[in-house]
This record gives sequence, C-alpha cells and structure tokens, in this order.
Amino acid sequence: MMNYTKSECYRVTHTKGIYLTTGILTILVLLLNVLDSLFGGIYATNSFSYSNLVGYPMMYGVMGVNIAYVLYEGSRKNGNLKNTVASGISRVEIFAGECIVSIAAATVSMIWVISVWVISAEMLLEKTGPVSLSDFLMEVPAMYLIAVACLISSIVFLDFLGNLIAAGITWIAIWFFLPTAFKLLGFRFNMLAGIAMWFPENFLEVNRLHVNLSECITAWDSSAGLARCILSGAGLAAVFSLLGVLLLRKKDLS
Amino acid sequence: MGDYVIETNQVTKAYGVFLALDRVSIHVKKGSIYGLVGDNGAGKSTLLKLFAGQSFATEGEIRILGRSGEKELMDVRKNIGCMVEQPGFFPNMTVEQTLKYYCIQKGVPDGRRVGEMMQLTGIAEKRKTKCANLSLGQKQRLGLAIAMIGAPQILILDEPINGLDPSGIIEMRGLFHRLNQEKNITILLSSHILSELQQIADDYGFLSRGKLIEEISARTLREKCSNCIEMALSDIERYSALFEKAFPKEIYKILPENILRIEAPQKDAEAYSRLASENDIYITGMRTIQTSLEDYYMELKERGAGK
Repeated sequence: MMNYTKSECYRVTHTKGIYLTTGILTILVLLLNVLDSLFGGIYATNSFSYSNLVGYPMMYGVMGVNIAYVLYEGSRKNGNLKNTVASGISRVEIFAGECIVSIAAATVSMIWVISVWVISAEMLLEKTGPVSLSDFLMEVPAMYLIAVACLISSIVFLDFLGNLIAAGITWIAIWFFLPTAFKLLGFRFNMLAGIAMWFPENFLEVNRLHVNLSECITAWDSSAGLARCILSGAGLAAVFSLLGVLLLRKKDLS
Repeated sequence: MGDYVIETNQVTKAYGVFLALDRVSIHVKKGSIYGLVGDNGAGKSTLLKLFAGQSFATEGEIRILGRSGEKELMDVRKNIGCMVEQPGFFPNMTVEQTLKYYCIQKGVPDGRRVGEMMQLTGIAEKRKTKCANLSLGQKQRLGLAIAMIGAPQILILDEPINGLDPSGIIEMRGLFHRLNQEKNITILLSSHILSELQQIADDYGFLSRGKLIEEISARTLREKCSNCIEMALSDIERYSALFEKAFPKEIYKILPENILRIEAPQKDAEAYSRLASENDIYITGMRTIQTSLEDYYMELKERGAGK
C-alpha cells in the first residue's frame, strides 16, 4: 500500500488537477473579499465574509468531495487501475491509498485557502460583527472529520459505481436526502429522531439561521456540540471506510 | 510448481446467467510462448483478466507460479507484467512520468529502468509527450513498457500488436522472441492476427464461446496441419479415374485449370507422380501446401459448431 500511496503522491504533485482546484478556490475567496470590500457597503466586514463559511459548514464536505473527484474521476475510465491491480495491489489497498492521498491533498488545499481567506479578510475588511475569527477557525477542527467522511464516501461511490454523475447523485442522496428522511420519520418515531440528529446535515441545520448579522451561534460553540461534530464525523468515516472495503474488495474492473 | 507457470482447473466466469468462461483448463509451460486464439467474445480477454486480477473467477482454480488462492495470487502478481485490452494511462502525464509512476508503484528503483524500458519498446523519442497525444501503436508500446517495468517472469498480453504498423509488428515479434529466449520470460498472448501468432507461439489454446476447444503444441499442430498436394495435369479426367482406383482412401478435389488437389495425402508425392508418368499423363505443375493456423482454427470451429 505504501508504494501505491507514494506513486499517487507523485502523480498528484506532477499533474495540474490539485493546483488548478486550489487556484480556483483561492481566486474565488480573494474575489469574495475584494468585491465585498469595494462594493459591500454595510456587508464589508470580516464577520460577513466568515459567515459565508460558518453558516454553511457542509461546504467543507462538498469541497472534500470535489477534491476526490478531481483526483480520481478518471482512474477507472482511463484504465489505470488495471495496471495497478495487475501488479498485485489489492482493491482494499487501492481504496485506502486513494483515501489517504485525497485527504492529504484536500487538507493542504484547505489550509492554503483558509489562510488566504483569513489574511485577505483581515486586511481588506472592517473587523466588526458577530462572526469572529475564532468562530471561523474553530470550524476547521469541528468539520474536519465530517469532511473526511464526505470524501471517503465519495470515493466509495465513485469506485463502486464507476460513473461521476451516478456517484454524485448517490452522494447527495446519502448526505442530504437520507438525513431529511430520518428527520421527517423522527417526527413520528422517537427512536429515529435520535438517530436523525447524528447526521451532520440535521444537527448543523439547527444553527444555520443563527449565523447572521446580529448573532453567531454555531454547532461547535459548546463542548457537547463540538463533540457531536467530531464523533459524527469519526463514526461516518469509519462506516464509509468499512462500506468501501466490503463493496470494493471483490469488484471487477471493466 | 511442475512444468506449468500458469494453470487453470475448470475455471468458470459467469455474468448473471451468461457464461463468459465455461470450465476452462489451460496449461502454460515455463519459458514458452502461449498463443490464445479465439473470436471476439470467445472469452480470451475474460481469461486474461482473471490472471491479471481485474476480475474474479466464479468457480474453479487458478494457479500461477505454483500458487493459488486470491491472497497468494495477489502476491504472485508482483512477478507478472500485464497488458489486457486497451492499455490505461493518465492522459495528462508524459510517457516518462507514467513510467516513473509505475516504477514507484512496483517498488522498482527508478535509476536507469525508465530509460531502459523506453529504449526496449521504442518509445524513447516520445518521453516528453503526454499520454493523451500518443497514437494507438505508441500506447501499445507504452503499455508493454509498463508491463515490463517490474522485470516480470511472466508477460500476459492481450492483442499486443493491435494498432502497430508493419515494421512495428516485426519489431514486436523480435522483442517477444528476445524476451522469451534471452530473459526466459514466459509469454501468454492473444491475437486476432493468427499468422503472427503462428510465427512465435510454442503452444496454442483455442477458445470458442467461453470453452477451451483445444490445447495443442505448435509441434503437434504442425503435424496435425495436414498438407495437401496440388497437381496440374494434361488429362485430368483420366488421371482422376486412375487415382480413385489406385488410392481409394485418398480424398481429392478437382479444381479449375486441370488441377487436382489431394487433401491430407497418405503417400509421398512421388507415388502420385509415378501414377501419372506410368499412364503417359504429363504433370505440368506440382506443389505441396501446408494448412495455416487460420485454416486449422476455422476447421476446429466448424467441427465445434457441428457438434
């Protein structure tokens, strides 16, 4: 597995995909803060800038999935995995390698983009409003494992279904529609209500309306809330890793 | 391990109710070149995919280098180089980067290996070209370079000369010979171009509709590939009457331009010419024709279809 992971690191660092994605995200973040400072009026504050991410924490998950798809969308289509499998590397090792490399790449990309976001917001925008830098920075550890789980699940779906669109739809269904279904069923069955509140989409949604121009109450404000974020992320990461092993272990390559 | 480096025992691969392979047992001898012959959909690529680990057998046993079982096979594949169906690459990496990538993946110290493989397969001048911009023939060469990079004991190649120009085909044939003779690499390959296969293979496996219909050595095949004799005669009506009387067990055909063809002759050519000269019939031409692998394969298929 080490050799596969090393070879993937070589590929990721020698191709454009990750640089291009990180570059586009950096430009978008800079553009957000520059335009906000020039034309934002009462919104030209770092609080408003930070609230864009603090109010939509699942963006971390979406970005994680984005990186995984940029790195692995073509693997099956181009037939590269055939060579890898033929050299005696198991499906599970490949899956683990893909997860490790994309988590590492996404982490580096995230650190870079977040740094650009903070520096540009602090330099260009007025430092006022309810959403503080600490709210913004605390979101990183709170959402990290959830983003990892999102990324792992996207690799499982992509490798199993072998098609970007099918994998994307499945990912949205699992991460957004399924929690909503549990939440609605929870109104009728108490037991499901408890389970529903462990889905990130549901427990993060509660706080979504409380991140605005007058207040900032995030899901990770309290230690119990932070623990729920971390435990939910760790649990889902474990569940999707196991699912990946089970589904991909004996999967034929077309 | 015995004589065989690859052996299957009643291997079946099913996709739902469709049997892509039906109880196939093949035997590839160490140090040989084994040619897998069959039409599209006969199961050649499916069988090679099982060896390459790209898919899993539904039933039966696969033994490679004396080892069987999925875990063992995974391990033994480090000693195999494969190129099954279209070779796969990352389109935005160059030839050199691609080979370096697989060097790292196979744990081969890069050093001179990348350069050696590019030279060996004749792709060195394209080292800085992106894989997406390679022609089909160049992709085949790169696929072969990847298969060779780990210094394998066995090479498994599916249609390796697809897309190559005539000089490329000759070059590849020479390369396969060299790898087999000098480095003692066992080669298992499939090809649609049977005349090419005939020039290099030591053994053949004939697949049809997922079944192995025959496994035969090139030597036996040569013996089995019956010759036929064609004679151009001055008086073919009289000769054919005499021929029937003299050689009642022989099978013959009368072709245009006074030619008589003796299928699978049981006597020497001299016996047939003596019959003509003793009866004052002139032989204006005579030749012996060897049945090709194509003819043999077609005959085998017809026999199989007749069953």
